[in-house]
Amino acid sequence: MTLNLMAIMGLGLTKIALHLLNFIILLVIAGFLVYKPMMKLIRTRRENAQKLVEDHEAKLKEAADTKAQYETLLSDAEKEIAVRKAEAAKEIAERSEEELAAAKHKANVILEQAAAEVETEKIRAVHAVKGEIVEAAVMIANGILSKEISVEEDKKIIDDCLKEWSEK
Amino acid sequence: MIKTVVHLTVTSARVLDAEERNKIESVFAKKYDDPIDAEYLVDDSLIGGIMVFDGKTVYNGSVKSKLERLKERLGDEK
Repeated sequence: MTLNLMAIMGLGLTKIALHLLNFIILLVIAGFLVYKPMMKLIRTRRENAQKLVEDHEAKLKEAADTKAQYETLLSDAEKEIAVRKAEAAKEIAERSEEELAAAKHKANVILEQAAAEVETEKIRAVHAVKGEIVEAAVMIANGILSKEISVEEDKKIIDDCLKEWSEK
Repeated sequence: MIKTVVHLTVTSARVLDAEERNKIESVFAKKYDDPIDAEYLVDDSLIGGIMVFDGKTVYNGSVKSKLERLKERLGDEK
């Protein structure tokens, strides 16, 4: 049946074989001219893509490493800042204590000087008052004696003086 | 031998009687072994006692000078 159909269509076995051969040759030629270059192209593009991915991953890793480094540096810097802050605070506290001690010492010196001045003034005032008291006492004695010394008493005073001068 | 006369100026708070003047002159005559010529003055500010000046030295036995010495001593005491 098939052979009859083929005869009706004008196809012979030779023609079919030739077509098949043609097809196979076409396939081979296409394989060489199209398939292989295409595959090569695809392979090349795949390799390039792979390379890009690998480069990208390498760069990502490098970036991650750099980030880790910077984070370490940052952490170290923050630690150092904290240490320096603590040192500065300590220095400020010590300086404040020194200044406070110096101010206290100065205040004590001023107080002592003031106390010494007060004492000196007190002594001066006491001497002044004493002097005035003595002055007043002598004036009173002067007033009393000038009224109270009798002639007999005056003679006695003169005799005592003469006795003293004669012994010298 | 010629003896020099010692001139005295005697100041007292009141007028001295003859007895007192003789005493004064005899003390100084013995002291200097020379005759005395005394001049007598009165100054009531002396209060009592006498002050004698022989030309070089003042002998101050007045009550006033005693009070002044007392004042100095009291002023010096601490």
